[in-house]
Amino acid sequence: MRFDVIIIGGGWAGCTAAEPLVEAGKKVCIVSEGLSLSAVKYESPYARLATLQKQGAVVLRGDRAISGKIEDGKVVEIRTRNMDEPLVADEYVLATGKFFSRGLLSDKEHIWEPVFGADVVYDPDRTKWFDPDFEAPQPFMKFGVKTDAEGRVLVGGKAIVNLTAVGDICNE
Amino acid sequence: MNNLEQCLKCNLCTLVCPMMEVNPDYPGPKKAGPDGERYRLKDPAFFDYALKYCLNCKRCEVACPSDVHIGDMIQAARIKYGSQAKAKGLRGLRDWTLASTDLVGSLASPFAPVVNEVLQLKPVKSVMDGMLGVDKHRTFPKYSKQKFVNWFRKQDQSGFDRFVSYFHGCYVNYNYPKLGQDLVKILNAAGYGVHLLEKEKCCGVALMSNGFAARAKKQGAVNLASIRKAAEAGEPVLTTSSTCTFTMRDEYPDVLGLQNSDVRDNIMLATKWLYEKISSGEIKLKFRKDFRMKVVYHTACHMQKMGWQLYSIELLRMIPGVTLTVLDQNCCGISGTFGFKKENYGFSQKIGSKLFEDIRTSNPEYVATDCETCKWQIEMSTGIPVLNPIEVLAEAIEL
Amino acid sequence: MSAKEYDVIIVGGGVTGAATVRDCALRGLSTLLIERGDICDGASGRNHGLLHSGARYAVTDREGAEECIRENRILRRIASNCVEQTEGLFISLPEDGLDYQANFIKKCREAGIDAEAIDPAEALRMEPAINPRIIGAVKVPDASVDPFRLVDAHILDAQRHGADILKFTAVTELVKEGDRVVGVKTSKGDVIRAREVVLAAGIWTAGLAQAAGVKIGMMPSKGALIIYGHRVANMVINRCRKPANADILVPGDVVSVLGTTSDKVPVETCDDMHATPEEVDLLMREGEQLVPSLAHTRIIRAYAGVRPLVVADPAGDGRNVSRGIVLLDHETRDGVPGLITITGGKLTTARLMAEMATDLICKKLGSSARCETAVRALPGSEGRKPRFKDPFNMRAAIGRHGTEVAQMDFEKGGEIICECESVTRAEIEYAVKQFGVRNISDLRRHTRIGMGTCQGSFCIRKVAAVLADILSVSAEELVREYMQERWKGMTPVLWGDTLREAEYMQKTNRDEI
Repeated sequence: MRFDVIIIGGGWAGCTAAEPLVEAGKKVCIVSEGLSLSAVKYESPYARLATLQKQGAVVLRGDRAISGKIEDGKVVEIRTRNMDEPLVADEYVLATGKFFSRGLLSDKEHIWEPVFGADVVYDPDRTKWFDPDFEAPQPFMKFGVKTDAEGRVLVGGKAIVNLTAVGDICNE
Repeated sequence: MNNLEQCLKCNLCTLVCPMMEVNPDYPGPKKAGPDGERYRLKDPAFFDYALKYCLNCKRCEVACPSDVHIGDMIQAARIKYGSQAKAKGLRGLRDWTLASTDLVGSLASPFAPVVNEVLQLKPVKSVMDGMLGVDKHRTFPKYSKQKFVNWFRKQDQSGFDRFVSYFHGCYVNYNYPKLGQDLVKILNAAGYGVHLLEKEKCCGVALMSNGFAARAKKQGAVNLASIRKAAEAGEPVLTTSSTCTFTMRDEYPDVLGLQNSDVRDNIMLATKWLYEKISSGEIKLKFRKDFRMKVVYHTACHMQKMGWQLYSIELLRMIPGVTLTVLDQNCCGISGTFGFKKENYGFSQKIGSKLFEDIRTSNPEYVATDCETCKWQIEMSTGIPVLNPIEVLAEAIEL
Repeated sequence: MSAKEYDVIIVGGGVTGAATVRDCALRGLSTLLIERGDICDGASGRNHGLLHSGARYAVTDREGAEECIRENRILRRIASNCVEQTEGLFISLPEDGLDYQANFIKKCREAGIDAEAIDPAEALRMEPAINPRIIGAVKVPDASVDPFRLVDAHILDAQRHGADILKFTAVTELVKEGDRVVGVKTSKGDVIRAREVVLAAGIWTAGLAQAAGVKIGMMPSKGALIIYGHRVANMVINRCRKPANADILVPGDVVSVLGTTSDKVPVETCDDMHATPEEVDLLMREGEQLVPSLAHTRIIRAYAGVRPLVVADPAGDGRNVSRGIVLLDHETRDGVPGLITITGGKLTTARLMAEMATDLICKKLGSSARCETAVRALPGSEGRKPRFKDPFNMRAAIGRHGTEVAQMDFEKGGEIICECESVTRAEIEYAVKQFGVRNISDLRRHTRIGMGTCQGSFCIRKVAAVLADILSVSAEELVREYMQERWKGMTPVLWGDTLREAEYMQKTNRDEI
């Protein structure tokens, strides 16, 4: 299926990115796995996504972007868990948040971005991921994907021309 | 997969649980699912009988940011620990009857006119309400005089060189052959012949929710064996019920422990298959020029869980003359046989009220949905006729 | 100076002190227990929660093994509500061979422990979670015991038999008249007199004794453990080999506890114990050998306790040092009358340690009262456990408190406050009344509040509001104390789902949603 813009992540950042695009008449697809924490702020949990849907956006609720294919420095398609065929767009927006929403995954040694394998800024020493004082600013809350000055996501050190990152997933 | 502790206790699932909103006795998906599971692993005596209120709508799973199989966990717990929770006496008979769609359908069909009349009779309804606990507001779906399979046998499918298999389900077979007939007509018009499965049993969803998991598993094994044969012949198995589809694809492995990974991709809704074939240009249908229909689409909960409503919606959008509005996804409240039970009728209607209100406000000619039990509920509660998208398509093409 | 003179003052509110105060109270002695923090705050609350059958010691320490099996049988009777009769397996993997097993079974039987070799297939049927590579298994009467409940039950029983419990009060020095110890001075400036003072303060005993001129060679041995979020096995799983690191997995209430390590640490570090990344890595690596599914089971926290081992030979790691019971009569040993030390031992043998100490106390005080602790059931375990009945909210509390639930008002306080562990307001009120808690960490030890997979991230404000209301203190302060305490256990395992939980915790705590 073909869209103008595919936004991965239907939380606060994803909706904020989608709204002006939908208003401008773009064909937008939002892949929204699960609710985001911001859902508690609206009168109904899906309020913002439902409005976007009414305005013509395609919202894939409960679907998860599994992988993105990059050719010649451009994203050419993404695959999701529920849809058999690839989803294709001119522009892609990564708005999957940090760890809670699984925009970033981690194990004992690594932190990675699972859809595109984007470059992630983090300390390789896991004892540096946190401050022992619970109330101090926590280093892991600053980890995120690398972007260039225009907000384009870096993969293997190279900016992907049609992939931008917004919201929590960005490195601070 | 037992992924109970991926649950981060964010409670987002509790925001979307339709039962929690109307029934204070239901502990909600988080407590009934992952919280309860930790205790049930310690001691089965921690099983809470309030789990019977779970509609198995899977809206919790759609909302979960951690991909916890909350609904599956609750279903599995009901099966594993809740056997004593099965109703006894007349209510047990009722549950058995409601669950045994296959058997009861076979028995009823030959006497369809009589059965249908009898089920409409006031005294019969009040006996069913009082003694059996089938709510008197409910109208049983009518039994058809002729079973779908009997109609199908008379259809010549020999002239085709490409075939698909069709899993018709109980509802098409015993109550509503028209839907199956419409699909066969569309497929034939598209140049595909239709085969039925060598052996088809009820998918088992009603058995599972009424506590008859062992029977469901047996029937599931029969279906999977037939589906495998179809797959070997290179035929996809098409369906016209979102719930049967969801059950065979996802509940078989996740709840009943039936391994289906080899054929899961082969089971799909006819709307999805048709959408893909039409959009790729492999199938060309001739549409009527004079066709006009104002339709709202209701996404059934299991459809939402599969994430396939997009196919039905896009298929409807391909039909010239259809004015389509997509409703916000809300549960209709019937949840298969759940809403037929007298003790659940009130919950069922309260849960559906948001959806009914949305439908009335849109004032369509028809509601389109992929689930037959949503159809009964919406027709009874709004008086607006409900069609499967396949029926809309059948009406819109020139045959 | 307090006017009252007690027969006995016990210093230390761990399992040893709690068992001793109970024994003394049951024998009619006027007794005071002083604890610097909350009950069960030290090593007694930082262990496996394993009720040893003695099998682990059968090969190396016959006497210890015999003590264990005797006490194991006694605790199953008197503390039925604290003990879960899970039974245990000692499994042999191909790399372990079966030579150890044969000798192990023989030694178990010699110590009176029922050890039965079972077929690997049978073992896998009994406990499907264990490593399928096993080549042998031995079934032994290990069990799971909840240390918090066990200590609480002893304290309650002591109080109900007239003992006084003074918490959150440290003993700053032992008061002497001449050579004789006649009482203690507390952090509140009081001097409390007693005819006998018993040191039962675990690793902190040595420092107290030293100030009174008594030398006890103690060697703190650190043991790190990790908690997995749910029960992966319903039996205690051991490796059938020479005791080593990380070879015991115990199902404790609704979690699994894997441990432990054994490393000599300086005494100064004992007040702030935490598991290191190296210890966590080691535990995980070994744990997966016992139960492969641990590789992808969420770890909710890691922690460490200190074994109060008494040195015979100060060299080597803790494991070669005697873990036997050490009862020191300082009158005969050091010429300091009025002072007794009871230390060493294990959670499983605490009752026996108390009996030995109290026998000595009675001898000194001229009492002929007999020990009854082996036959009298503890509070919560008296009579039949109440049957599960609705409301459902009560069930978890029945599991935790047994017959004590009779004292909780579920009619009024049935609202669940901590959802992971199903803790109701009624249970909180009971704990506050019975155990005088100051904060949520204290409350946790008596109720399991905040011990579940969310570690307090979701319910903590609710808990704080309820507790603040009862105690008339600031809810924010309660939250702050508790989150800091939880954070300490989470940070050694801060990746994967625990890191996800941490982000949620940080965001909710900072109102950044």
